[in-house]
Amino acid sequence: MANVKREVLTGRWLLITLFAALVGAILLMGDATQSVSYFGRLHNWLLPINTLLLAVFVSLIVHNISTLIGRLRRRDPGSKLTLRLVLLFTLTASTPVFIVYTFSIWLLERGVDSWFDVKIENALQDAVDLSRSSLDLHIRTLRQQVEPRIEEFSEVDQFSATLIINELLISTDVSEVALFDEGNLMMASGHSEPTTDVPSLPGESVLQRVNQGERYIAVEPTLDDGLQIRLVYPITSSLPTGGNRFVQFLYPVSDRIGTLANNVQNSFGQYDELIYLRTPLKQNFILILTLVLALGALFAVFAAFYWSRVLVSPIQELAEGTKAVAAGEYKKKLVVPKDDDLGMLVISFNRMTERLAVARDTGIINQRIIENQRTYLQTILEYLSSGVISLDSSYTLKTSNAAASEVLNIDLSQFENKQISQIGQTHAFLKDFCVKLDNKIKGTEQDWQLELEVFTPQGTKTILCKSVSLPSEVESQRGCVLVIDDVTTLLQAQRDSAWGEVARRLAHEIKNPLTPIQLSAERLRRKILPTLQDEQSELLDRATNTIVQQVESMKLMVNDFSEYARMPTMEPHPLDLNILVSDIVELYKGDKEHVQIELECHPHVLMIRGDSTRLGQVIHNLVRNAIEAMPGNELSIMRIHTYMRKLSNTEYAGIKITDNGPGVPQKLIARIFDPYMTTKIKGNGLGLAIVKKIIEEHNGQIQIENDEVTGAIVNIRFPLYSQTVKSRDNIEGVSE
Amino acid sequence: MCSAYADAQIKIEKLLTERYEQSIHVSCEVSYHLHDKVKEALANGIMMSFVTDLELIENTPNWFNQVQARYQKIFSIKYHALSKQFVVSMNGDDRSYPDLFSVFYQQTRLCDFRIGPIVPAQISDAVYLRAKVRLLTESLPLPLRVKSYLSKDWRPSSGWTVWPM
Repeated sequence: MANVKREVLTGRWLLITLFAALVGAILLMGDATQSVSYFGRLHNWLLPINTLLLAVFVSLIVHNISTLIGRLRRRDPGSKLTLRLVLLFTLTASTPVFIVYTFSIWLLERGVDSWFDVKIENALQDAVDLSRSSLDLHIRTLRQQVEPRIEEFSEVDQFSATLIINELLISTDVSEVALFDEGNLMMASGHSEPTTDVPSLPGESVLQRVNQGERYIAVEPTLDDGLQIRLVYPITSSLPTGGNRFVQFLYPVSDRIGTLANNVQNSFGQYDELIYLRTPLKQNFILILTLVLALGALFAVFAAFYWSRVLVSPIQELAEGTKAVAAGEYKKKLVVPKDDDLGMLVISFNRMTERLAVARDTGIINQRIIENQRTYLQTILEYLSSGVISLDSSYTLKTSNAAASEVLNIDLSQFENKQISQIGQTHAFLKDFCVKLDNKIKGTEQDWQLELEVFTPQGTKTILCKSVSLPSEVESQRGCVLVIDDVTTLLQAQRDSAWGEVARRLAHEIKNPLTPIQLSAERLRRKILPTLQDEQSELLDRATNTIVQQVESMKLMVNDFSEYARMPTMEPHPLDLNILVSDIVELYKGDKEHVQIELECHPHVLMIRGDSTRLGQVIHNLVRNAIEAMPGNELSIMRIHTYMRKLSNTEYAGIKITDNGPGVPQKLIARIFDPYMTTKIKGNGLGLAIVKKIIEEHNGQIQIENDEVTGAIVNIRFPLYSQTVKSRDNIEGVSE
Repeated sequence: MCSAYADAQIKIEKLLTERYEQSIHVSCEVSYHLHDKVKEALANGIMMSFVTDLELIENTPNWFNQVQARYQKIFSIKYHALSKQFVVSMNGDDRSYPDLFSVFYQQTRLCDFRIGPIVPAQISDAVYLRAKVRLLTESLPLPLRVKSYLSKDWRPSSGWTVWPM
């Protein structure tokens, strides 16, 4: 800013100095054109001064132009505005200058020409001709007087010649007569005024002409501004010593005629000189006018640069200030140039930068607070056992914590900024989960809760999803937050606890009175049966038998409940599913004649991780159920085969048991694994519940469905032992 | 002898010296090839003055030669319309000539100097003469004077012609 002010100040003084010099030069030129003598004194200075001024202006303008071009190339702020202003000022100044210049030239041409008049020129020429005619008359008279006597000089000696000359001086108007011999030496002379000096020899040119035999007759101006007539005649002498002679006659024109003739001559000469100088004079005036206008125009251009700079400098400052603010320099302060519109603008700019600085500082503090809060929340989320997933308005996954990845058994960071449905496309076991979640998210309900079962490589999981919408006026900030929890263990524990309590109460409340009942029934039979007749004794026997049998049956049931309620410690270890199934099926082969068991084992070892005793109990239960379900009056075929299947990237080992029984009633399929749910008359409904419980303890899955052709199909799947180890490693890796 | 302007409008062809006891007579042959514009101006009554400068120079060991003597002769020419004569004025003496040829070539006094008094011992090999004939542009009318600044045609000059003694 200081540089700009100093530059403007320097430019102002330069401008004033140049303007003074310009005015001085113009005034000098104006004065010089008024007076020829003054011009004569000044012209030696005028041209160099004006040329110097021109050079100064041109160099300054060239410097300004080059500076401006440099600024334009650098795209300096205000450079284009400076260019426009310079062009505008120059155009504004040049147009009237051009008009004045053109008009002045036209006026000059006409004005100078108007000084000369053809009539005056003709009159002067006529006057000269008249004077010449008058002089010619004198010449003719003189010739008539002297020419008849010229021959007399051809044969006379010096004395005789002097006599003839004296006679001529007396008888004619001749004022001087001189006779010269061949060597241009004067032989004799005479003058009407005896005191006059010796006559002078004619000029070399006259002598040459005379020597060539030509006569010379002319009017000549004299030193005293008079006129004289000179007649020179060559004479051929007949004397042996005579040679070529010549005689000169001088005749002074009378004072009156001479004065008049000289006046005419002077006037004509001056006018003739003026006419000749007309064109150079016009050229001079045009040159001076051009010089003045060129100086003026160049001064205008230079002034245009200066004023453009003065006008643009505050705007340039503002632009630079704005650029600085844009670059984040909010403490930029501009010096207020003047108390005018631009000054007001600069004051407003300074206020704006002050407020921006305050806002920036506040923003930085707020940002730090937000960052701290964000870090705080991030830390909480990272250590939160519940999975948290945030989605934007277009259902794109934005953030997730480690717990979410652990719950879903995948690395969710791979799906950031991707649609949540893509998770299901990549991981098949989450396909149903993602579809249901997607439908729910896109539904109209804003806050919802959903419990979903997912069959992951590690087994079936029950996942509880809660969604909270994030309302915002800004579209990009809308979305929802999903909180997912693996409630499998919790539900299982709740269920187990509930059923364990039921079983424990049943065992406690029912088992205790069963023994007294049984003992009482047996005592009644033993005491009373011998005393009764056949018919009554048969009735009692049947009744007590029934009581005893039912009590036994109830004891069995109570034992089952006790077993269900009991929480045995599982001892898992790697085992081959093929061997386990083969061993158990071998026990049932031939047990029932009408039941034919077909076993088909997978050719490869199906190693899983499990407790062989409890898994054996599962297979026993299922095989027994199938045998019991098959009709006894016809040949039934039970097919058991083990398999290995790859679903997505996870490998499973499974057992499929197919019978040709009536199948499971459709209405019971959904609750077939609940305790106390059975289709058998004697069943207590705990078998399949225990089976399911054991399978789930092995992270497996069991499905029962009906086949339209055969009967029921029971399908059990367990993760392979290798898969289980791998998945456990992966989860540990994600957790880290 | 050498001339500064080989194709000049005025050229000093020869410089003749004639030694006397205490003086030297110098005369020069000058050829005038004035531009038609100059001749036209003369014929239209513009008075022009020509100046002949003659200097006696002695070479010195330093850069600046010493001028021992300096002479100048000015003559002016003006056309007299009534008599149709060119009047040459020099040293208060007017002479009339019918044309410019007669003015420039049929007289010898335009470049005629007598240098002296001078001691013969002063004349050595280090001494030489130089002469220059030029149109006196300062004597031109103002419009033509400006032209003379701008155009070489209006500044006829022989340049310095050096001549040994």
